[in-house]
Amino acid sequence: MRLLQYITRHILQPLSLTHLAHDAEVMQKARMLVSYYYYAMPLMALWFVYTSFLARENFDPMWPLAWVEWLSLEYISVILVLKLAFVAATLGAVFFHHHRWARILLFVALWQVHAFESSFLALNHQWYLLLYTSCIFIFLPNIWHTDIAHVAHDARRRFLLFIWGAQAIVMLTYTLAGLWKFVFAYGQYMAGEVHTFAMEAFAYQVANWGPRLQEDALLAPFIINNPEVAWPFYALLPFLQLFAIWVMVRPSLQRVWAVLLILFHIGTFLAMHISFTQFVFILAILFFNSPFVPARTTARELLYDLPVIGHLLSWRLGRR
Amino acid sequence: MHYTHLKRVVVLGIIAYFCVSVTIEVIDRAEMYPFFSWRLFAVVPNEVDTYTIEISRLGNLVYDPALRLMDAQFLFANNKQQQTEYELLINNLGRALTRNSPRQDTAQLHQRIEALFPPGAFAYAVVRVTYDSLEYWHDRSYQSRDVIETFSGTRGN
Repeated sequence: MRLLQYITRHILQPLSLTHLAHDAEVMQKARMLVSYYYYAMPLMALWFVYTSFLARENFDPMWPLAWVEWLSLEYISVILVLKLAFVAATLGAVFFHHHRWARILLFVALWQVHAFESSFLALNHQWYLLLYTSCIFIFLPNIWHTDIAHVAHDARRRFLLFIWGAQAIVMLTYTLAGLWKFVFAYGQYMAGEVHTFAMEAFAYQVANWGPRLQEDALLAPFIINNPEVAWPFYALLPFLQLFAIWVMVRPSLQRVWAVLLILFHIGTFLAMHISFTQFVFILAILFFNSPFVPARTTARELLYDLPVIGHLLSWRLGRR
Repeated sequence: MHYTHLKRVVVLGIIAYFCVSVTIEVIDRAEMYPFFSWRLFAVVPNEVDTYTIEISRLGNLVYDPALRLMDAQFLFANNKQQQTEYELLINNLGRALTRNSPRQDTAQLHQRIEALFPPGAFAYAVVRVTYDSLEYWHDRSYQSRDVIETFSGTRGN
């Protein structure tokens, strides 16, 4: 118990949402973040509407789409219903996201869209983060209509807590991705194989995915022929991912991490032609305008907030 | 719910997600909707050991040598799917055939693969291949190739 207290107080030093909830500017940013999320959602609906599913083979509805079999709907009708429902739900959320019913409808529509996209031989991972965020945002207290100064403090900090929770679950997924890279790198290193931190690792990944995806990625030939140039970026990636969750207790780093993760997704597209559109969307919305990022942060403070490096600096040079 | 309790619920929810994601990876190595382990690109594909298909006939076209699925982009161009979506299905079929599973168990699997083909006659082989990803990129060579079973038939409209 003492160890847990020590870790919490001296290493994690979590944010005080109770304290932040007193700041009207923070609350304004928090409300805007949620509004931006719902304002931008029609873009996701357009993306889904634009995608053609008509010629897809092997549609096998997942359990959230049980209604498809109950109603004995034809495949084309299912597509039409989902596209219309998603557009309607996102438009509803644009205008009425301050009402819980609109947020519930959007979540249900997203859930159905994700289930549909996952009903063709393999689960779709692209929509997970939007699904989780939309689910968490259902529980936001209603603080839109009133002047923020008149909103009860308890409602304000609950509002911040749910935004923090949504951000944390997004960053946790990156932390898990980083964790597995370390775990399997150790296993492959012990087996004498090329592992994640080896010079040729990125070239192997690119060479493996290129022919399977049947797409010509712009940077693929360069990475395969010059593995030493790409190596530093690929070797640093597991660290960036593993410590993603750290920005939830050091919010000054949130924008930095979001930018780096978006660059990683762009790099993945250029190297392997694998797109992570929804991930870029959620990172930009949740972290570029995060209410938890301090108004002013110096480079020195950023350095001290870095995981491990910051602690080493504090230990050797004293706090800030 | 009091704020202090709500805070604990949120933090415990995040810890629970972490535990579930780690557990499904450790015990099952598969996904458990709506949870995912987020193991992406964690294993460097040194030597790939997988099942695939090689097509020897589609309609009036006869392929000799047989057309590898990885080179058959045209099959996926119309249906907006990707070859990677079919990998799990083909590997399940390959493993089932290797185990000599009953015909009724494998029939559904190969029929789903055949849904990819245009109407008309078809013939293909399920093969198990091993290859080095980098070598394959450069010269499309396999280290080993074993034909597991061949299938042929006619697909209606």
